Amino acid sequence: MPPDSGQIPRSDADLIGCSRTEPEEFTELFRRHAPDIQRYVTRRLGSGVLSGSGADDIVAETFLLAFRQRDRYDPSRADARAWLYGICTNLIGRHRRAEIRQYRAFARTGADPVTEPFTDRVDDRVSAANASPLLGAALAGMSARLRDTLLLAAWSDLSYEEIAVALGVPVGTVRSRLSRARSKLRKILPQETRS
Amino acid sequence: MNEMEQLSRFRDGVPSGVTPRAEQMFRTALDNEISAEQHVVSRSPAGVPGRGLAGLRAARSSWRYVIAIPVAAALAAGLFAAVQPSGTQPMTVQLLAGRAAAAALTQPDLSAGQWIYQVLEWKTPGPHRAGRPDPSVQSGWMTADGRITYGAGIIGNPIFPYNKIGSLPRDPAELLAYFRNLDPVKTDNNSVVEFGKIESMLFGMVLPSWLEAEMFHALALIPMIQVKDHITDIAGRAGIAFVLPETRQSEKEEIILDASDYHLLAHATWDNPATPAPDIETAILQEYPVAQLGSTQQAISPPSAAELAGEKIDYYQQYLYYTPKISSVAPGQWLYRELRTGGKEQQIWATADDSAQAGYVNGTLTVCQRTAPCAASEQWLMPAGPSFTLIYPQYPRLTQADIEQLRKLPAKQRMAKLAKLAKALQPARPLPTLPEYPQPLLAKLNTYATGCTNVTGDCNAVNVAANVLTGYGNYPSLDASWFLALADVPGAGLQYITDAAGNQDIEFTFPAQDGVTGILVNATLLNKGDVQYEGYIRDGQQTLVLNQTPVSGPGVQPAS
Repeated sequence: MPPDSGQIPRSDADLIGCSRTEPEEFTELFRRHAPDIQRYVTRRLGSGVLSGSGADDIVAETFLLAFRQRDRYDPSRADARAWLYGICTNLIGRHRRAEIRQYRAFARTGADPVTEPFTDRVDDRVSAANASPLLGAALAGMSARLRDTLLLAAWSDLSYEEIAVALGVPVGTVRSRLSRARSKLRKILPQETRS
Repeated sequence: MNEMEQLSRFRDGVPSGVTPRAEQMFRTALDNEISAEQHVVSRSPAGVPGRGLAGLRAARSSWRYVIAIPVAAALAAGLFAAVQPSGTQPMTVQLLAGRAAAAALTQPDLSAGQWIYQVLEWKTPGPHRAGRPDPSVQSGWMTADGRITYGAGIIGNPIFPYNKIGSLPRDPAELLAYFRNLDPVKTDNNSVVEFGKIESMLFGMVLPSWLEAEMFHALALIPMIQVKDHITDIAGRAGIAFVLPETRQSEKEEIILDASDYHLLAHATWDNPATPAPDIETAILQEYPVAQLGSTQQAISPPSAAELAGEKIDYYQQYLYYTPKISSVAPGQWLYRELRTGGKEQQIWATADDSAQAGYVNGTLTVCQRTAPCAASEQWLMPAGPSFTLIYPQYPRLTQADIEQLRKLPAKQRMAKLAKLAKALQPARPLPTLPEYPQPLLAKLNTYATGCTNVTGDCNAVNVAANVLTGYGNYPSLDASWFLALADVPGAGLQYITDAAGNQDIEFTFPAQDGVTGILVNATLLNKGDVQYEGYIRDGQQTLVLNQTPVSGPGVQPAS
């Protein structure tokens, strides 16, 4: 076991390094990041009703793929989230139809199919998730690459540089995609009075 | 509130947290992986194939999701494809366009609703790609017009309305001009817009042969396009490609054709044009017309009128943004209904799940529970059929008390509490529901006994469909495949009628001897993209739903 286990909090990079010889260490990476990854996947694909528990599969597969590639992790990156979000975004790309379908369902009915298992209709207001159904229409109508970039920026708390790493594109591309995606959104969404 | 704040709110409805199922899947897969590693002397960078998640996946609840065929088999098939030179003549964009157009013109023309079976192979990108292919193979069905896709559909949106295709210009330069004008966001690079539109139409739908030919000629007119010869697609097939180089507005893209007969093989996209392998590539391994959704036997069969109507309804229910008049009612919600059967009007109250019904008998409102003795003599709207909860699985919801409690909490604690409550509520597996796929759905509906003495013509299934459409309240959100299933009933037809209430309807006609022979959908509204069920025909008599409104209890009239 590494000497610093227990006391000093270890970086993701340290954990991944250790897991090369101590594979069990990788479960700590899962414990740290799976909750947010699951939230991101669930928001994009739905939790089960629409996608047949696809979110669970993708979360597990993300970490399994990461585990298989741990030898090639760049140890200078202390925080592994960009790496994990990148893998997970690629996996989501295979289920584009399920994703688009749930955005459309939201746009059509005004009821968010993704949050439904978590909330009650009345509770939608409580959880402040009362986004405009037009958002669903906007997301459904966007190209996958713009959507990936936009949603990583909005939901993953990654920096532009980290999004660039996650998507494997130059940071300039992230900026330009983001500005295109945001201007598309602005065209569709009613602009409330800005404070 | 700007658009990023709106997006962030949109996410906030989903709590952070791992489901036990995801955690279990990961842990089991990791254990497998670790034990496999210990048995392999030197671990290959790609990990240990054949282990991991695949073995853990139970049969998926949704057939639309993924229908996998063994990747290894498909790859092996690709390896045997002969590599042929593309000819000795130096290939130019014009020459390639000419050959591709000639090949396109040999293809049969299909009607808009013709089902196409597709097997696609995908490769998706990653920061970890390092030249390692990551392909997966999926199969599925689409209609020729690309409006409806099941399984491996590459594109979910309708790309171009088929009924407008006939009016497209038959000149490649005019075609390009037309596509440029379609672009709502005026890009300053026309080549990118034109290439993108052509690519999506070529791969997202099956075009009439003349248009496919024009598309290739049009590609050759785009100034930036280049040709790249002697390449292979992800399936290992020899190809030749139209290439759109990287620009400020777009990534490098390729449309790959077969090197020997110039049919469409694949399309590929690079995030970084310097890497040899593309980041995303989708190859068409197989694509051919089949008689119906679900079949893999090659056959051209023009869809019947009933099938076209079923597909239209399916399309509108899945993709259009109309708001159902009654959405997502709770099982115990009372619904007021005005029915007309053969000139006689009736007012009936029933709960959405049909557990209780009420009406006026000799001027007195009488309520009858399904379990009570009066039910035996009552004319139930839903004599037989799947339960309400089987059609609309009732996932547990928070109680009113929980919500009140949440309201009182400060915003920060609210999310944590909500996550905790939601986690406790979430069932371990999806709740049982009806099959999604039309034929299995039809088979399942046929298992309910609705009193048919002669079960030919799917008599029971048609009766059940009429019962459910009339009886369970929120018919607009019924899964669309119900109408595809009805259109697949042997002997089903379609005709236009004016119903007893004066509506213009389409009638799905059925050959039943002693059951429902017609199901009515409002034709005027359907033409506007709205799906409204009007009623059914039995023994030559129409039963129409004139009004259906949620109310607070039995005997309550809806507010006008």
